[in-house]
Order: sequence, then C-alpha cells, then structure tokens
Amino acid sequence: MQRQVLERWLSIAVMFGLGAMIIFKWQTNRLNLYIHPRYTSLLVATAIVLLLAALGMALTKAPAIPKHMLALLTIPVAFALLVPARPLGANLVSGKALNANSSDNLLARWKTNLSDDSKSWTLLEWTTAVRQSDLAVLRDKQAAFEGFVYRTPDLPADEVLVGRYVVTCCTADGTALSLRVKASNGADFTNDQWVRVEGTFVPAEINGSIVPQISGTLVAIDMPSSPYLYP
Amino acid sequence: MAVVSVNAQSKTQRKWLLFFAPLIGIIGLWLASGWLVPSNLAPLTNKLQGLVTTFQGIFIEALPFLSAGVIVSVLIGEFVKPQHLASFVPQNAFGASIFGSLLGLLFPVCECGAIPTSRRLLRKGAPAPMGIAFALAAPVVNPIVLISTSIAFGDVRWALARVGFTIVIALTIGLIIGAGIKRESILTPLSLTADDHDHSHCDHDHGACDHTHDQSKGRLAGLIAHGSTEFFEMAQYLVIGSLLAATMQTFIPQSALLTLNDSSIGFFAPLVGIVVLMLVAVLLSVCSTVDAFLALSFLGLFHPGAVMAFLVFGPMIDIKSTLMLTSTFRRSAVVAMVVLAALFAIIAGLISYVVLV
Repeated sequence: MQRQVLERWLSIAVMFGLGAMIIFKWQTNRLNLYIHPRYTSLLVATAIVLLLAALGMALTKAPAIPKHMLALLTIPVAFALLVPARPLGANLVSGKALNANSSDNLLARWKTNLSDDSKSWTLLEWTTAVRQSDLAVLRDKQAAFEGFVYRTPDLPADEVLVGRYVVTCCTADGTALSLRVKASNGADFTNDQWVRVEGTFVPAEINGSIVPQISGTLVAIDMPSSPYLYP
Repeated sequence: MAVVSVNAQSKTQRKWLLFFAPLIGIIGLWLASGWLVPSNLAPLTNKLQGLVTTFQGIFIEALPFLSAGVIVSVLIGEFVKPQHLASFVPQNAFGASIFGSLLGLLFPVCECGAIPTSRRLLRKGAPAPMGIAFALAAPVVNPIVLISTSIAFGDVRWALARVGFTIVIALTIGLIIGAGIKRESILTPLSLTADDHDHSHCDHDHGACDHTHDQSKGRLAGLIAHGSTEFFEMAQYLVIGSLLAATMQTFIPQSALLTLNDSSIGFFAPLVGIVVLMLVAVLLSVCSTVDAFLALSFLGLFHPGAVMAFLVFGPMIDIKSTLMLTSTFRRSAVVAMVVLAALFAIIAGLISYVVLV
C-alpha cells in the first residue's frame, strides 16, 4: 500500500518537474538555448498545462504511472537539474559546420540583406558577404560582431575562429558558421569564450590561397541573451 | 519448447537491460555534469553537454505538440462513442482509408499527437485501414502544416503537393496493410481493447443526474487519469527517440551525409539526394509542424525532389514516431509501414524531381 502511495507521488513529481523545468528555463532566459524564440509562448502554455495536470493528479485519485515510463521521463528533468545549461558551442562545430561546397545556395535561401554599414553585420551577414562578393571589395571594411571562440590545432596562437550557430527551429537543426580572426590578444582566449570582434577585413594568404580573415582585437563579453542567429 | 527458450532469452535480455541502462545513464549524467570529472575526459564532457542541448531542443520543441495530441485523444475518448464512429465512418476498406487520411484536417496534430489519437480511434472501433492512414497522414494533412509549409516556401503549390502525396501514400499503405486482414494480426493488444465504457450514467432512472457536482468531478478525475497515463506512455518514446537522434547528431557529422550528396553524379544523383534527405529526416526527428522551415534551408543543397521526399517521409517515419507506432501496431505491421512509406516517398521524390526541376 505504502509503495503504491510513493509511486503515485513520484508520478506527480515527474509531471510537475517537467512543467517546472520549462518555467524555470523560461524565467532564467535559457529557453532560447534550445528553441527558436517564436515557440516561447507555446511552451509556457504547455508548462502551465503540465503543472495543472500535476495538480489534478494530486487532487484526484489518478493512478501511479508504470515505473519504466517514470524513469525515462526523469531523464529530461535530471538533465535540467544536473547538467549545466550550455548553448551549442565549440564542442559540436565539427559535426554541424556549414558544408563549404554547397553553402552558397543555403545562404541565399536565408535571404540576408546586407546594409552598407559593415559594422552592423552579424556573423551570418559576414558569411554571406564573404561567399557572395569579391574579397578585394570587402578589404578594409570595418567589423564588429559577436561569437564564440573556436580553435583548431592548425591555427597559429594569435588566430582563432569566431563562430555562431544559425537555428531555424530548434538546436537539432543548428548550423555553425565561423570566420577566421587574427588578433593581437588571440592567444588569451580559449574555446567557447564569447567575444566581440573589432577590426577590419584583411584577406590573408595562406599556402598560396586567399582566405577571408578579420584583423583586429577580441573583447571578452558575456554570452548574448540570444546565443543563436535566426535567419 | 522453442517458445519457452525465447521467453527465457528475452527475460535475461530484459534483466541485463534493466541493470545496464541505469548504470550507463548514471555514468553519462556524471560525465555530462562535469562535476569532479578528470581533465582528460573533458572533451567527452563537452560532447555530452552538446548532446544534452540537442536532446532538450528536440524534446522541448515536441512537448507542446505531444500534449495537444494527448488532449485531443482524451477528448475523443470522452465524447466520441463507438456508435457515432460506426455511423459516419465508411466500413469498406477504401472509404475508411480515405476517411482516415483526411481526418487530420479536423485534428491539428503532429506525429506525436497523431499516434495516440489513432490508437484511441481504433479502440473506439475504427477500421484498421483508417487507423493506419490517419497515423501516417495526419501529421501533414492538417491546417497548421498546410499554413506553415505555404509560408515557409512562399508558394502554396509546395504545400498542396506535400499534402497530395501524403494522402495518396497514407491511404495506399492503409489499404495494403489494413484491408482484408484480422485486426489481431496488426494491432497491439492494448489498441484492440475496446474503449466503449459509457461515462454518462444518466440513462438509468435512478436519479443519478441530481448529483451533477459529484459526477462532473468524477468525470474530470477520469480525464486526468487517462490523460496523464497516455502522456507518459507517448512521452517515453519521445525521450528515447530524442536521445537516439541527439546521440547520432553529436557523433555522426551531418556533413558526412551532405558530402555523400555532393559527390554523387550521373544518373543516380537524384536518387542519392532523395535517400540522403530521407535519412536526414529520420535522424533529425523534428516535429512536422515546424519542419517546413528546416526543409527550406535544404533547398539550396538538394534538388526539389529530395526536399519533397523529406517533407513527405519525415512526418510519417522518424525515430520517435516509429517507436510510438509500436505502441499501437504490432512490430511486423510497423516494419511494413516503414518499408512501404520509404518506397513511396522515393517515388514521390522522383516525380517531384521531374516536375519541379
């Protein structure tokens, strides 16, 4: 009998936990680490339904949920409690990087309108500009964009890749963009540190080919409130 | 004898699973939490945290749609009686299939919602071809998806073609698998259990209707009990599916698939593109109500036929929906659905390739 009561309350706790997880992530501004902001209100509504369902289960004689289902549904709650919430970052760039051969059409589909003021360009707009125009035309254009630091073993100490993900619906479809930055203080930064790039566009010659690159400095910043770019 | 040994084998397998699954889970959680993890395992911690972010993305995004599906299913359970269903559902297989493939227009649910609804309808006595056609078609044949596809592509023809292909495929599969076969051989025991209990006790002349307050309370309690059980039952598949999809995404680079597409040439090129995007659809397991925006971003990489195959196949079959289908249909029927849906989606992709290029 006691065991049944315990299992019933565990069921209620997991249902409540799922709703509370969403509310908590919403309140701490972390929901946008996972989904496009246009779904925020839908999720808050869902969380309220789940919390009401938990309340209803507590007040009525709703039966206990089978244990294996409870165990599985504890997983997302446990993730929320125990695993530090992190946006997609340097850890997944290798798996989610934009495919170089076919990216032109993809960027065209994201319909980015480039303004004249290159200082207002995000990394998405820079990527579009680099892919679509002659690098010589872009030379000496001023850059001021944000992203996370991503290092690869082949880069010199003062050069880093500054990356950012483009998300269409949720993190499952995130695509990583990145641009090479040569910075006097580049060696001070490690993977996943958020930075603001300040400098000018100066294509570099590496192994005989011209590579797009920003030359300037990096300024450490906090993670922006929306870590992804939404096309 | 053979039956006994199979049972014994599956029992030991279960025991091992029950022992190892939590163990792997706890080790994984510890590594992902980064708490007291040795520094030489830090890259793994990084990867696992990325996996968690991807998992939460899929899980959280699908949760509203799954909840909506469960609510629709519970409301059908409460308010639709088998005799209602029998009176307006065509009883011949062809009519039932068409009815099932169009019913989604009334119930705006995605794949997470369509499967509980389909099971509920089957338990209410809906013909098997209708249940199959509904489960496969409803994720696409519904107002939300029609609108989101038209908006995403800025062209209503894409939405119409997507819905058209889906209806034809779903009703064909409904007929092939569901027609002229005993319900027992394709449905799971639970979806065979008739759901025909009558909640209104007012038919009896015992003055029971005077206690309207008590009765409505009991009715609400019933709704909550049914709803919560069904929510957990379907959500468990969502958890497993999201975990598998997130694991694959973390450890198999998407670029590997895309490279395959880039390198294919000649006569088979359209076919390779179609198959690759269908695999991507299974791997991503994104909800059908939002996948149009995602499909759009593939239009630059792949020919329109492949994108159409993605739009048609993804909502019918992906990791989480295949798992959910096993709650309603027997495994052999699910395998047949997956194979047939894949075949027909390839054909739909090839037709679109010829027409839309």
